[in-house]
Amino acid sequence: MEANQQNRIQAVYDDVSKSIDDQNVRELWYRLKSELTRDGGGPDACAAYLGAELTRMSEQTRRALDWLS
Amino acid sequence: MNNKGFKLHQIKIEGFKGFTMSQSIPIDGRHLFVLGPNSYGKSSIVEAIRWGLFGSLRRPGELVANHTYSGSCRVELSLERGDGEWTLKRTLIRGASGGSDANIMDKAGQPHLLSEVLPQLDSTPAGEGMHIIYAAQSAPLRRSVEDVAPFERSIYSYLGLTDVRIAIRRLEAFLKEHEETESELAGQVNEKRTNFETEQSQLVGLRNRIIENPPWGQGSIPPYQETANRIGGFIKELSSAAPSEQIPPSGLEPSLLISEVEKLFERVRQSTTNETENALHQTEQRLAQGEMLRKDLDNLNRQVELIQSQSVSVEQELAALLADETVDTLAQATAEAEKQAEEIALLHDLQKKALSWLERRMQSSEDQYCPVCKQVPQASDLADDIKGRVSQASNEEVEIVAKRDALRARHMEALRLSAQLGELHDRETTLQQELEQAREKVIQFVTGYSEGQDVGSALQEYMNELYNTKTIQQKRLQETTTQQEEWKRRLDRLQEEVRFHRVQEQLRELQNQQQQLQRVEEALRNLALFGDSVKSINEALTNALINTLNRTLPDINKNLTEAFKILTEHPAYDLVFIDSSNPPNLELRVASEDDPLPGWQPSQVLNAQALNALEVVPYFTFSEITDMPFEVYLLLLDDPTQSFDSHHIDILVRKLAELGKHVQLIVASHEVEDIDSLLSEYFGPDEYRVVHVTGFSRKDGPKLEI
Repeated sequence: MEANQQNRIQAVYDDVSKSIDDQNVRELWYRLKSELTRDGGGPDACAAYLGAELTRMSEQTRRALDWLS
Repeated sequence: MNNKGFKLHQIKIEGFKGFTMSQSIPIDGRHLFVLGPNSYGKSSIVEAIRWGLFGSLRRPGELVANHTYSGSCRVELSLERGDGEWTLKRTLIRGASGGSDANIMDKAGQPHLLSEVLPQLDSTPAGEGMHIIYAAQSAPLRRSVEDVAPFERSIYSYLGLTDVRIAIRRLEAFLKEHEETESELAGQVNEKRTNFETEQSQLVGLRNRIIENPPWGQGSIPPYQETANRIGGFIKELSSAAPSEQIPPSGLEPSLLISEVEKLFERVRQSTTNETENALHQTEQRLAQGEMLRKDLDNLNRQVELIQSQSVSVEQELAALLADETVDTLAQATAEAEKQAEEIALLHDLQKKALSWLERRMQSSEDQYCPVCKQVPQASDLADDIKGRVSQASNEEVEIVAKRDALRARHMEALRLSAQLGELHDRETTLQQELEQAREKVIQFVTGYSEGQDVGSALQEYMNELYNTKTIQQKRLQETTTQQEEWKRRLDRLQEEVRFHRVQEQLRELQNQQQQLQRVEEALRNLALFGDSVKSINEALTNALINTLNRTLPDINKNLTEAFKILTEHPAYDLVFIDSSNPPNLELRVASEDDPLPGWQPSQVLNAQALNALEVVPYFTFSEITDMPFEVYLLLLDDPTQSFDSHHIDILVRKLAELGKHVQLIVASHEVEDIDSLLSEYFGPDEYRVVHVTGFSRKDGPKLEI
């Protein structure tokens, strides 16, 4: 990615980091940010991570529900 | 012109849209202007470049192949950069729904992966463009969203915030999915909780009902083992009543065990009832049979006795009638009396005739002589004598006839009685035979009959035994029924006990499940918190983006306004700006400097010429950013001069010449004369090529003059 472009994105991400107070949200943001900024990552990798987390958590809940039935 | 990326050097088109046989258009890395009347195939050339690069068209579902042409549908693009000429070939896969094969080769003809040579291009949709940018030909075919989308992408790319924009889009999509998932799971959890509460309420109600009338009696609630022991005792009792019945296996869980005990009880009940009832039924059948035999026997005996009595009576009557005689002697006497009566009747008749003749002779003749002796008056003497004889004979006859009649009557009566006696003897013989048969039946019927024993007595004794047996069996049946009722009550109580233990177990299980449900609810809360966290991040990201846009958009708006002014010289709307009130969505607005806010959607206030100009304004602005390492940097403009007058065409071509310093232009226009004359004015002779489309036929496709 071109340096200027990278700098602009990084500036936005830094602004986001500063604006987050909640510890859990901050940890999640750092996780997402690493997906957003790593080589070959970006929004799709970030979305994949979130999707996988949602799938994991929802499947976990569903399995527990299934077990109850 | 920027030389960092590939430039288009040649295009070969075959079987694509209106094209038939392969036609080549040399470009040599210059700008290309395709000029000619509408419907001759100018747009097909622009679309062929788009399809060749991306494999899709601007409008989804649009036909790619020329279906009147039997050859292949393919586009071959020659691209060149510092390391020589590369060839990108794209061929339509016939029969597939728009799919195509693309391969790229280096100058030595060596194939390479498209994703390696042109990674940006390979991962970019056809409608998205910063390094490949477009303007559509016809305004009525466009929708505003489609127009703005590439424009919006261009701005974000220009600002270097493409990833931020995409990230917000992804987060929004995720939050939507998360909301749906959370809602679905929350619904399931609520349903489960409601079910648990309902089930618990029902179970507690059932348990209380059992405790109100405890099946285990007055004592405390027994542990399950105690109930199990009672069930075991009950099984033993049932088993002893019907040893042949199989008992339930050990180790069964309570509800299954009691179910098996219920089946065992049913089998034992049927077994014991059937045995007793069958025995009683058999006894009753024997009794009915014996009663029938006894009735037959008594009846026959009575008939024999009656016949015998009648025979004695008839014999006595006959004996009295015959006295010392026999029927035969009586018959002889009767025959003799018949003869005597006949003779006396004959003599009497003869005497009466002789007297009648003598009296007639004595009255009618003088002759009074005796006709026998011829003496007178001996005739009267004779008559008197005959009269005396007639009188005597008459008396004798009366006597003899009376005697004969008496004999005859006796004889007849003796014959009748003899016949009756014979009939009685015959009847008695028959009855005796029937009686003997009946006795035989009785002998066979009576169990333990002794030879010589009186049959009637034997039958009576046997019947008495059967009646005694029946009484015993009836009593036994009653006892069995009583026993079974007692068993049934015990079974009901045991079932109720087991039901109680099961309810207890279910309540414990339900409690465990409710604890598990709490864990599910905890998991759901975590999922909701996860969503809230993402929502917070999305809000923070959006706010950061808004801040950045607020800092950067004013300069962009200024550039857009300048370009718009130059292209349109619009008298009323001289302000162009980007509306970012709904980030990351961006929309182009026009306004007047006198009344800058809130601005208008361009289609609401601009005429067709201004709209077409505005369509290309963002590209004029952003294409000047040339420090980006684009693989292929093209501006494809399909008839940008639509609705333009000559003055504005002049402005456009002048601006295109400025733009052409940074990007390779591919422009199609029907303004042949205006463009032709302006090109030489604003472009150097080696900077561009012109292709004139001078005709079209279905057989040969567009006619090109190069």
